[in-house]
Amino acid sequence: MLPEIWSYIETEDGSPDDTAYMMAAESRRTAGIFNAEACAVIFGSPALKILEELKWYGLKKVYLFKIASRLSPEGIARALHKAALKYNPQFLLFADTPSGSEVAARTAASLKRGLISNCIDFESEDGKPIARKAVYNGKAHAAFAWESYSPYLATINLSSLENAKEKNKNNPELISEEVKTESAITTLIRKWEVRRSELDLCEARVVIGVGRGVDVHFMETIRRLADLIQGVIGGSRIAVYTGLIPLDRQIGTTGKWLNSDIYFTIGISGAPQHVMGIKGVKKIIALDIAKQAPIFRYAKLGIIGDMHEVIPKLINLLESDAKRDP
Amino acid sequence: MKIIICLKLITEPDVVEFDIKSEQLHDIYKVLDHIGYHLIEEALLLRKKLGGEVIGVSVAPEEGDEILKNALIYGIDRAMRIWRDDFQHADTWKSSLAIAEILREIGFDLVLCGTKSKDTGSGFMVSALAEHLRVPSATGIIGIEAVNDKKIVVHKKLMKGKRETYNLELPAVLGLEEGINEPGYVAPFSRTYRRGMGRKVELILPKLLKTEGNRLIKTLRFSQPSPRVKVGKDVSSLSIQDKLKMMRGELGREKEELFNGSPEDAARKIFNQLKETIK
Repeated sequence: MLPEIWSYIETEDGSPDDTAYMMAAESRRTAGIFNAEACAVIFGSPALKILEELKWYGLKKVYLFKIASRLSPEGIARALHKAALKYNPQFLLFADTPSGSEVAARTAASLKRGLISNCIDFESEDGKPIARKAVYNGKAHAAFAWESYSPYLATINLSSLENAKEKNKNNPELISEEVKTESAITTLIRKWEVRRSELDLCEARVVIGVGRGVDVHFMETIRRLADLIQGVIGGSRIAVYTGLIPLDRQIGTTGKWLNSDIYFTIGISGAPQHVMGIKGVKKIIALDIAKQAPIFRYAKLGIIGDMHEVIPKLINLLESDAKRDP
Repeated sequence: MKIIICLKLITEPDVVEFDIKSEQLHDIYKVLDHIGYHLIEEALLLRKKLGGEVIGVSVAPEEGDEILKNALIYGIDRAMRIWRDDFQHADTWKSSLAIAEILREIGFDLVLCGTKSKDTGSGFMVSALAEHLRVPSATGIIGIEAVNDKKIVVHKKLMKGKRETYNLELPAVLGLEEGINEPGYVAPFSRTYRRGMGRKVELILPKLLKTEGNRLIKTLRFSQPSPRVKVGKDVSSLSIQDKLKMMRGELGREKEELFNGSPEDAARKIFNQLKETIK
């Protein structure tokens, strides 16, 4: 029987987290490297939609741990500990999100097994698995090896994850188990959310970047746009120098590194130092008047045009849309 | 109340250089991990509120004395350096065992650590300590409200603006984030400064047996950053150009669109893209 690779699928109140399906794909990828079976682990009572969607990721087994109420990271770790001793998987993989890495660390500590966090890749060396991760701000990669027995625990770097589906559906074996919830020492009081436009740049989902091309008087219009799309305004070093944005809103090698869903640049040409900081962005929209601006090479959508004409029209569109669909 | 802060001596990531030829790290310059200053500040704030003492501990070689002395100058009450020669290549687990041993001896109410260090950042210390000491833990903390010396309320940072608030019973181990406070400043020759100068860093030898303090992971080597193989792709079959593209993250990316038309159409195009992503 082949060893199993377990991927911890994060769900929140029954709906999938951003990383959920990516972790399923990661399970299959790792299974390919070590010639093992790809499996997924879910806690809670997920919607049928998730289980249906998971069929696209070439998984062999799905372990479903049913819980009556919400479990703390410690509770999940305890349940994973028991399950790992029972089924003996070779790997336990987690996404490197705040909650994923906490569960991973607690599980590793209670199993007394090694944890390598923020991994980029796995390799097999002399029949033993090794993991590679970026260290010292990405200046070098370091190879780590587990000195403990299996299961080997690892968390996966978020920008390395990818949502890769298989061509065909398959039917993974579903193994469900009840998990008793014990009384927790840590109790959740409430959940809350910070307003999107007040977030720090590293955390923001929507970012607007301003550069040399933007005039001080035009900032008011850009702030209006930021309000409408609930985005955070950042910018290049020049924008800091000209006083458009404060220093803590600088994007690039010497400033903040973005990890947002969308980055809309206005009047930024795209110097290498700036582009380094926007590597993690999922979608870049660039607006600049110069056709040869290097930023267009990185943008999903590049617009050559005058911001003084395009932005007010965009604001009109957004405003009328907001009225129609409040 | 006894507040313990775990300070880490790290290789300054901004200064260190990796030499591709020799595959070695250069310019290794040891400093206190920046979260350490936040830990000191938070511990001092809590001490002000609840009273008690603040003890700084660090698993570090002789170089660590300097950072602990610095912490004393900032106003903490005691500083302990834990070290034995076989800790040279210790991993987080081994260090955590040593710290836990000392903490059991001196007693504690609240242990503050950084969630992840800046250099290698395994993020394992908080959970490992909590496991050894059999106390609750929480990481990613951006706010602590001290209710009394038996109970605290903590705010936890999750992704994309989501936050959670928890009730925790003391003793507990917490992993803090940098956003928790602004590190304070001590004026040279002020009272706090002079008192700190007068204190000494204590050196402690852990009794930990070599067998129980086995490492769980080891560092094999450092290498040049190289691309990750995509799901279902064999990297050895790629050409050099494709490998370079992969490193820059350009391989298999969707075709970009460059639009040069009327402002109306341009605005409409941006609007559609924004709408697609922002729900």
